[in-house]
Amino acid sequence: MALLEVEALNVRFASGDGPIAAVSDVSFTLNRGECLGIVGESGSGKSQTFLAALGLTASNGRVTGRAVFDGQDLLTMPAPALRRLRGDRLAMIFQDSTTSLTPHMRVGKQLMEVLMVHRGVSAAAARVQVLEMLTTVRMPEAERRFEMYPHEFSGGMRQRAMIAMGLLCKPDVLIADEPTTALDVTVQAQILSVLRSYKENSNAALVLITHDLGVVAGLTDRVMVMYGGRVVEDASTAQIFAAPRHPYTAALLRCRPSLAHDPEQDLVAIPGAPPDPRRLPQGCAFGPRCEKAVARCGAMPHLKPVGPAHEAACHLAEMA
Amino acid sequence: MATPLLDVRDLKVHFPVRGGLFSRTRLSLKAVDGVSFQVAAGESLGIVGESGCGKSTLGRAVLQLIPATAGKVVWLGQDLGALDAAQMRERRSDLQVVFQDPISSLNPRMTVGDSIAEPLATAHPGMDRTSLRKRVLEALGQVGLPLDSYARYPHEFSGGQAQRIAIARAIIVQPKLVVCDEPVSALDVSIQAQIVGLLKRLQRETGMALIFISHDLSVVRYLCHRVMVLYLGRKMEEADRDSLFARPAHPYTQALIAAVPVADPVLAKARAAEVLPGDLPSPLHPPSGCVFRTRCPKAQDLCAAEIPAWREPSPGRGVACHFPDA
Repeated sequence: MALLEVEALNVRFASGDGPIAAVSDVSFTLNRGECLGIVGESGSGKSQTFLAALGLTASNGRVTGRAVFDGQDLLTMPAPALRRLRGDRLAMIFQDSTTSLTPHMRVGKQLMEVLMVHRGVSAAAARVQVLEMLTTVRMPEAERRFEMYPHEFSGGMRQRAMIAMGLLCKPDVLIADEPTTALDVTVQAQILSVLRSYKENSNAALVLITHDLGVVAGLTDRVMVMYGGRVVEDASTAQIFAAPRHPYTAALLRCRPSLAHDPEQDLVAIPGAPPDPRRLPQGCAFGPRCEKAVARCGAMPHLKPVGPAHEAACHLAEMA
Repeated sequence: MATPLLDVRDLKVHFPVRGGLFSRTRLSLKAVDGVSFQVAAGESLGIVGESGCGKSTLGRAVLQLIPATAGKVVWLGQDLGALDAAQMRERRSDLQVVFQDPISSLNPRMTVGDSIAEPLATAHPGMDRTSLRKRVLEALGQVGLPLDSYARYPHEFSGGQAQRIAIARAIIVQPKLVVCDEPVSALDVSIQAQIVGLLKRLQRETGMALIFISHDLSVVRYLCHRVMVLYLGRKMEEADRDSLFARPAHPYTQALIAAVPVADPVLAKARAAEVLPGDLPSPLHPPSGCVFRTRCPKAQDLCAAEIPAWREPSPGRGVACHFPDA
């Protein structure tokens, strides 16, 4: 049985300009031991999908659909029960670690609270476990950092503290939202290696939300590409990179310079900009930027199989 | 190299800071600590390194936006640090800048046309409105913006378009050098390629030189002829693009290149093991000797005792390391 099963998830926000379709008709399953990558640009709905599943949608948002975790629908669960799950069996790490830590409390104490609240662990035992976890996430001089305040940390150390917090209760599902975006490449490599070893040494499921296909390549088993609030392609990581079937996925792979790219060859940029979720185009949201667009693209394409365990939402992607 | 456009000699930018909340000791934060380099006309130089390495401070000191503590910035034989404000204003149109956050670098109450015209009007106070307008429309065309952008306001534009406006503002005075400080880092992936492609095309077409400051080695490799690697305010290595990426000599350059994520699942998993440990040390208390030694896999006693001298093992290539790879 799937650990997390999301079905027909929709997120709508009320705004002065009319309703905003942030997430539309998103369905997927997540299994134990699996690492799922969610790739998309700003406004693609990648973060809103998981905020909605965890009951963290802003108050002007309306969520419909189902998000069944271990047999219970998170969307209809009473708030106190959901709060108990969050931070315990379901954990989310955010990009902005500055605002996710309380500024006036020592980092060690903030981490101890997680265990004391969720697990009823004694302060002494919590301290031991937190120090262990700080070492696991490769916090330099863990004992000394334990007594420090968040503002005394570098960005990389704060992000490691956030990851330690996320991992403390050994969650069944760990959702990392752009965990390395604000970090330097060498620190990014460290953080990704911590996430990789958590995945390899636990039976948990890991969700990695990112705009960076390079980050996804080394860590995930499966990738969902989102655009305009919808899933446009869903396949194994190997397939996404070797044989992408949605023109957006293919274009994303082409437009990014890599160290293997011939620098004398021009980049193939995608024209235009990602759509504003307040004003999504008719039909396929990628249509206006797609070099292959035809008249049919004015009608919404639905996600359909294009190969074994490979789905794409494109009128032109045909069964292999 | 013939007379270089820009000749930076042993530049230092130190900021005085207090030792601690109640401490009376004065410390000096050496953001840039003795960096020398040259840029030839039409050349593009990439400056790479992690946050805190001093790359942005260096860019600003070259542009005379912040004062240097020591050293010289020589522009076409003239020491920019010795110029008074009026003389520097005359040089401004030669040296332009594009920052990371395009929205905050544009005046929200000015139309895009007026914003782009401003540096040109400042450089040529006598220019009439018709000529200004003609030049602005040309610049809009050069950066790929629709001509009706002229009468619109910055908030009507996306991040990528706003960066095009900032680039139009920089190139309208036909500068000889544009310093770009992380110009694509705040943009969506699909937009980054547009802006990087635009800069490369503009550089080819206008012959302007470029200093491209970035933490993104893939983009630097794509755009720059030569690359300089900084760590904690010091130059670690400098080489032409192809030799730097094919045969990095400094262990830090090697680590930086190895840490770039590769968009290839097979390769990415194969090399997942190599990770540079630790964080950048505090610039207030830099390590003795080689500043990189605390994270360096090859560090030995000598590295703590002596600052490695700048050596140039072959023309166009330099490295500051006691044990560089040949």
